[in-house]
Amino acid sequence: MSEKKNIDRLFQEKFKDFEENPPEFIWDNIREELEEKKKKRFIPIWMRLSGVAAILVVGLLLGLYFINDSNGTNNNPVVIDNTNAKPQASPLKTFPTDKSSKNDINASETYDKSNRPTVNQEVVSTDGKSTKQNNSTNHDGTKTRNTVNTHYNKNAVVSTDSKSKKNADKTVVTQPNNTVVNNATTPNKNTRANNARQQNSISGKNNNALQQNNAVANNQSAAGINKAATGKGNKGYVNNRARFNSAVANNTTGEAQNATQQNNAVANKAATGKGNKNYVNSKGQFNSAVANNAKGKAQSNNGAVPNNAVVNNTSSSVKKDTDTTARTDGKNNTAIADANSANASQNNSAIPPASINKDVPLTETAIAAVDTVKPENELEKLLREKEAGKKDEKEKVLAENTTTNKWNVKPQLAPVFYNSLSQGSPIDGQFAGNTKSYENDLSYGVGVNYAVSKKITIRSGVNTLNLNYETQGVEFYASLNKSTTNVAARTNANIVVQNQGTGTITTPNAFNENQMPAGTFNGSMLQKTGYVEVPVEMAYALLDKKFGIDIIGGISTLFLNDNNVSVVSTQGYTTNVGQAQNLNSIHFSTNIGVGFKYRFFKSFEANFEPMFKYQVNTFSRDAGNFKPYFIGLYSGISFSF
Amino acid sequence: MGLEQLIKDCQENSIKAQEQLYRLFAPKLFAVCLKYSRSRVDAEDNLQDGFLLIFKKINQYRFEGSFEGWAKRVMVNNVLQKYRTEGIFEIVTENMTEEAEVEIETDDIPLEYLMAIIQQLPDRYRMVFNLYVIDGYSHKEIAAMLSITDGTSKSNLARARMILKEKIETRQGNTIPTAK
Repeated sequence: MSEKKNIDRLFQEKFKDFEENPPEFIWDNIREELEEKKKKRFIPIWMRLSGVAAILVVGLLLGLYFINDSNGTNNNPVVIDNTNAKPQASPLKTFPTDKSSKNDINASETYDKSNRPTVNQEVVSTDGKSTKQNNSTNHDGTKTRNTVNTHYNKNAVVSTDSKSKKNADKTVVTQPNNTVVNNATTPNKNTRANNARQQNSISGKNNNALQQNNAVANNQSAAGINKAATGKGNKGYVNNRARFNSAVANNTTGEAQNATQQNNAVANKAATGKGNKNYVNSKGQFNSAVANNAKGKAQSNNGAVPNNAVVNNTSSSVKKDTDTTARTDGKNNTAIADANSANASQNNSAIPPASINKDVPLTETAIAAVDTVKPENELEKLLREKEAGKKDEKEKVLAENTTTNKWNVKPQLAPVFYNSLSQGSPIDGQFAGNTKSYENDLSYGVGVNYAVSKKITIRSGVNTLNLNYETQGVEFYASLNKSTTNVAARTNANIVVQNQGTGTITTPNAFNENQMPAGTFNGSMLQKTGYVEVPVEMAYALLDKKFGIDIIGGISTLFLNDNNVSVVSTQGYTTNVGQAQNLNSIHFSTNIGVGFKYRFFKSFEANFEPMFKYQVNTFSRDAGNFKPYFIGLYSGISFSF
Repeated sequence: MGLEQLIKDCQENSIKAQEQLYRLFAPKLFAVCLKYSRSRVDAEDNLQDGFLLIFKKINQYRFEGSFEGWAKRVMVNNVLQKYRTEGIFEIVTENMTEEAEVEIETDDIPLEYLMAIIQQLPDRYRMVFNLYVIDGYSHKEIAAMLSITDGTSKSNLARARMILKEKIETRQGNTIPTAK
């Protein structure tokens, strides 16, 4: 039956409901790839956590160092300010608000120590990465090869298309040298090369497996230049192809390597376990190749092994080097090739690449022979130079990247929530049990960040900080000869603060004129402290995109600039009591927090950083089990340059 | 479980859901790959890559329009992207004017044969033919997708038709000499 029909319609009708079930191994490959991705995601979390831990340890160590340092020098930091005080007949009626004189502290020396030069870790980490990935590549490579072998066993007849044949011819002359170069330069790509060598089972008309092998090896090395850092294993086809592409990009040997593009592409497929598929030859010729894989001795030097053996090598060592013997038949053509060779780690400079009959006609038999090779030639030099150039370029790029936008300035504002980890009072142990209400204040300042690497940032800055709290349920009275513990009165008339119910002063002695006939007032005691905070912190970027997340750890140095204790009567009257004498003029806090940032415009970022800061060494003595900390919700807009 | 839920699970990277989705759409999408690829092996690779891409980008699917259509587009774009990076598209250059409909004698040509001759077309011809004839894209769209001009797309299509016609006719000549 035949009829005139529009060709478009013919195809449309035929393909309308066309569906075909793909082979099962495709899902296996996909799943493997997906699982690998998940694993990869998992590993960095540990790395990140260890990074955070490292930051904390460094922070704590520095903190301890500074604490010891400051203890020696700041034993008596409090300036007692009595000179400007007027004697007051009735201290309860006055509301002095004068601030205490600022302590003159020169802390730059201490601070300088914290500004030690930091080591640029980028290079280190890059190295580490590539090593790791090489390892994983090897691992993956092994896996894939196994898969491929299985496939070969199942389906050993392979054919190739004309393109690859053509290209194979072109590669003959130049390939051997490339192989040597590559083996020498990228020893740990070995497994990949082995994988790719599966390709050898695909052979064509005058096809020589060794040619392809060489081509692949060459590809590997070229790819190695760029892809070592990002290289995934041979498992995924995508990756293989990615390598292939980069290989082309890095081509230095011109025609010869270009000519191998097709081969490489095919080779990569082979490495992913698909090399055993039948190709439709565009010329309608179907070449078949019998491929046998066996494990070969890694130690075997190919120079000594005659490569024309059709017989399988038998597995004789645990090494993963795979030999492939390929033979094509069907068109009278037999290509016997041994793809053994190239275990780069096994001193392959001695391995002679194959020299191959060029353009073997269909009826001829091509036997891959082994040849010796000159130790160095032009191509080798070229490749090396290219590599060196690449390295330089890379470094340049790296340098450029790191020099741009290293600095970052950020005005910031933070509501600060002050609290103590334990019950206690730095004024007097008797107030330890009293209810304390902590005031929330606002801290503001400027932060400066310096990006050491893409991930690590060193931060500093200056913030003001007011930490106030009120001790409830106290009573106070005026006295000339008694004073509140740990508080240096600023007037001649002392105000004695004590817990309610402690009992008032003893019955006034009518004969003692110094004794004030005064009562006791209930109220609360307010301790105000003000600081200038200079943090030195390190931030590690967990996420560094438009939206970023940092883990921040470090220490702050806090310089006391306000110190005042006052009492507030239940009626609301405030009276100064004096200054706390046990506050260190410099103390520290260990800081940890998380930073969220959002880049809304080129160099501008909105930041939000909840920080937990635990104060250390706040009091020189009699801390009264008072363990203060504060939480600051720092937010600001940063500008990087 | 509905498709929507399945997709949502895939968006949360559930391997189980991903497998189900694969099983559901693989036959259809493999057909797409077969048409757009040079060979069955290539099609298998493209299917694998395409699915990985689908799973990667599945968060971008906004539940607007059919998922199948979306997945198909991803698949086709993946293949186009692949050939684009290989620089294959530049190989074909010619100036052939657009041709009107090509009519052929058809008997019961097996689908396998049609598939084979499509796959044997030069890459760009195959793309243009598939995009235009089978998937119904306009020349303008194709031109944009392949970074070529409308005219090139039209002329490629005409060339593709001619090649296919020749092959079909040769086959008929060889196998069924007296079909008419």
